[in-house]
Amino acid sequence: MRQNLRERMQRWMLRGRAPERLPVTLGQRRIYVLPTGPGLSFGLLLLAMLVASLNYTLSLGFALTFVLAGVGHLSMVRAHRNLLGVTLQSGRCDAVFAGEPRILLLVMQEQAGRGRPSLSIMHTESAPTSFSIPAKASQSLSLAAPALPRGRHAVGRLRLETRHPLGLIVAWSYFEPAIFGLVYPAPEADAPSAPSQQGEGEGRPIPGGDGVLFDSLRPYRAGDRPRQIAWRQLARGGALATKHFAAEAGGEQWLRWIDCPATLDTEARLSRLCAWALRADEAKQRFGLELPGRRIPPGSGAAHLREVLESLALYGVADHA
Amino acid sequence: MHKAAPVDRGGQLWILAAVVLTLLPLLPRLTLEVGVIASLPLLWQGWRLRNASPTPTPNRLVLLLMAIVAVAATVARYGTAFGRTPGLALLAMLLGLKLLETRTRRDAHITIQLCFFVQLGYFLLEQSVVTALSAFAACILALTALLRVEQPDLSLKPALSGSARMVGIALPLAALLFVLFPRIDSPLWSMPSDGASATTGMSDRMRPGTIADLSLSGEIAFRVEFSGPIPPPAERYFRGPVMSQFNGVEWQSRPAIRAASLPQGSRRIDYVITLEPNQNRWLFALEHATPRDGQTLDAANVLLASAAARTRVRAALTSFTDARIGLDISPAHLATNLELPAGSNPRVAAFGARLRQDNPAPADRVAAALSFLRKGDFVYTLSPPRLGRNAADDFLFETRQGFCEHFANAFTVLMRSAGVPARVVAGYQGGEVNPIDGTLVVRQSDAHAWSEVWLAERGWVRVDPTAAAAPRRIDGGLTASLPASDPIPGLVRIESQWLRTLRNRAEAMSHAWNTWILGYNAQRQRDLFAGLGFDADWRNLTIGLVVSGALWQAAVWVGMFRSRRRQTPAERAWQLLLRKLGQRGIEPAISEGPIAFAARAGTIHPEWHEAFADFAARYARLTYGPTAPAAEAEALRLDINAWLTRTF
Repeated sequence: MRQNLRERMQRWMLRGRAPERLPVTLGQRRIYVLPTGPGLSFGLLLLAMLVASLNYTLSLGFALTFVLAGVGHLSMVRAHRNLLGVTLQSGRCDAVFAGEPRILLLVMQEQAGRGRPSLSIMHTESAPTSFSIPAKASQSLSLAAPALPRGRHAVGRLRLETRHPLGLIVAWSYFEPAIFGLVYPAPEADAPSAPSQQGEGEGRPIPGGDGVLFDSLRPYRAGDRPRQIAWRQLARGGALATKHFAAEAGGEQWLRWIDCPATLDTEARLSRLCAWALRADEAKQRFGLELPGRRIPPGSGAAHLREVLESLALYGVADHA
Repeated sequence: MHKAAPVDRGGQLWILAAVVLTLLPLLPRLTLEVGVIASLPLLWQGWRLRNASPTPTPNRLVLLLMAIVAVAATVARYGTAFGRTPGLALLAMLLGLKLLETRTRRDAHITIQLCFFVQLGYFLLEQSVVTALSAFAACILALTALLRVEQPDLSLKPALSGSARMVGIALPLAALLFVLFPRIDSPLWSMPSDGASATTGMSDRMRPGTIADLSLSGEIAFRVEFSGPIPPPAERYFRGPVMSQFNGVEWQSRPAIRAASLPQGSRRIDYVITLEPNQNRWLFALEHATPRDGQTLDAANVLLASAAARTRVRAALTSFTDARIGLDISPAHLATNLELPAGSNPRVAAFGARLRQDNPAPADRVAAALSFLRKGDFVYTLSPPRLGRNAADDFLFETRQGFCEHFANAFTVLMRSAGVPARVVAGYQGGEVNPIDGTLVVRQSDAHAWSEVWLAERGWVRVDPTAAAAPRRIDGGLTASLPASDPIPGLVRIESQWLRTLRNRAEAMSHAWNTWILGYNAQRQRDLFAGLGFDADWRNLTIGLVVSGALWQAAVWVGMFRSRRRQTPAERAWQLLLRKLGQRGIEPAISEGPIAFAARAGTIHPEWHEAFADFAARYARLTYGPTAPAAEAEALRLDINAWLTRTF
């Protein structure tokens, strides 16, 4: 019930704008302000000070109370102003495997010529990312979003908020940007080896994952596979980094829907195919994919793997594009 | 998660500074043990934060124990934990303890809010300019601490100037609320009183020495603003208690009863008196006052306020300088003004009897007594020799040295002995005009006592026996009339001209402060609104508040949008160019700077290539390069506009 109410409220706040095409600039009609917990207690304090001043006819008490009231009002205006005109310039949501948190990369921009301190952005119900934007500048930031099932998903609702300057008032706004990200099927853990090939090449079976040697960490680069991201390091508050693997070279192979046991359902088959594709790629093997209604000729490299995983992700899913 | 975020060491130090500045002006006004208990946690906190990595916050149990000690100390000292001073003492001690356990942002908010409340607490004790300034400073520092807690990367100067700016912007709204917020006449509740604090001032009893004690104080008793010319010193007798009951040693007033008739006259003067706090109802009117609303006149023609002036009180008074009082007095009442205790002051009694024999007319007896004083080599001094049981006898015939109450006492006793109804009046005489603001400042050192005698057809007539013996007391004030060896307060006896001017300036400022800031109460609010043609009732004030609040909000918004449009001419022209190109489908990519964009646009429209490259280079130099003269930006704007009109 409560969840439902909240949902409806957020829908009302977005007022049918979602999903919005970028860039999105925050106008004053979509910024909301409310007192925070400390803000409410500040209000009560002012009330108590007012009553004390009235009772003891403390002229200076009135003066102090009213100055603080003015400061409270100003902090509301400032909080609102801190969001006003902030632009979500661009964003990207990298593909991940089902069950892994998604990472959004956003670029926020400030054009009004005043710095925007103490901002934080969060995907509803997940940990916020704090940042600030210098005057007339852009700021890129990454943000974790909850894991989702296989498919192509919009990034969902983002909440940008600020408690600047005194933490008495929170101003916030919702974005629901038209940024979409793919979720690949989760690769099956300990999947059996792909059946031996009738393919053109002299493929040899991929060793059960032990040919994959962890080599080193390097800074994250756009296009890196989410599976290679050093999530553990990120969770410890470290920088986004990618695990680099040294792998052995291999031959050529066909990964086929019909090679999966009939006992498996669609998702399980896709998971197995995904695991196979990753193994083949790690083994630097040329491989092709055959799904009902779709066939990808053998190839290798990051672009090829992406194409394969994408068709696995979108298999049987209505395309939103 | 936001509220529980820990406060870093820098933030903690800021909060410590805010608490220290908040408590600093308060501690000297509280007792020693309260001061010690309140400052211990501050020292502890300072010690905790001395290193880059603070030691953990003290155990809750320790804090609880300290809180119990604080409550116990308060109760032991004041007998209660409630009331102004005990409450303030307790709050000061608890503020330190809260500071010690401040860990998270939420704690920081509570601590800072407590600081604001303690700052309000100063004003219960004192509302001087100095207290206001120190509270103001503490308030800004507390806001700075809050800013710093919320924005940990803020450094010292922007944090301080940020909070000072916030307060500055808040001031107009605060001023509006101050004027418009409805004030009330009577308190909502009363706290247990902390016992009357000792203030110097007039008392309703007089014995030799009481007024001399007062004269040593340079404190201001009251100030008077005259709407017309200020009366000359010899007419400035401000009447306080009238004492007609004498027990041989001490004069005392009779219980007040309302006057039957009001004084009338033709020479009317209107003035406003601002009384410093005291414990009495006397309004110290000039001769002879007629009551205005809320004031009463007692049978001895003493003007009384409706309540004791426990806070500073302003009252508008009216007097008729030529009014006669006591014409309709009953014989029985008159007879009480002849009573003397049997056997006291035998020599004065004998001298009085002789005066009565020699002068059949009472007025002549008064004149004879005054000439006795004038010719008797009496010395007016603040340090007279001690007198015995029969003070009037000793003074008139032995020591002949005394202060005004000695004169008034002896003269009144003498008049009663001579069969003339007489009584003692205590009050203030003289005062000093402050040339800065034109008010008359009357100090405790201007306290005076004189006599009133009753004469047929003239009623009660003021006779100042001191004036007969030391005429300069009346015209020149206390300092002029006393021998130089007498001790009087430094502030009263000021020889140096610039010191006197300085003091006058300070007192004029303080009076304006008292009148316009501290004295802005329900009455003045009503007066102000009546002057503007409104009733100051709740409805009008609420409307005023709402309207001015809306205006303020509008002003803030206008300010916001004005600053949003603050672009340089170069920026405006460049944005215009981008809009025009955007209409033709050429838009800069997100990561494209002006020069790169111009190069790309130039490939799409080769005929404009040169113009674009030129504009972009100049725009980039103006925007990102070192500060260029304004003329350059203006030139770019003109060039772009000219090109746009030529091309589109």
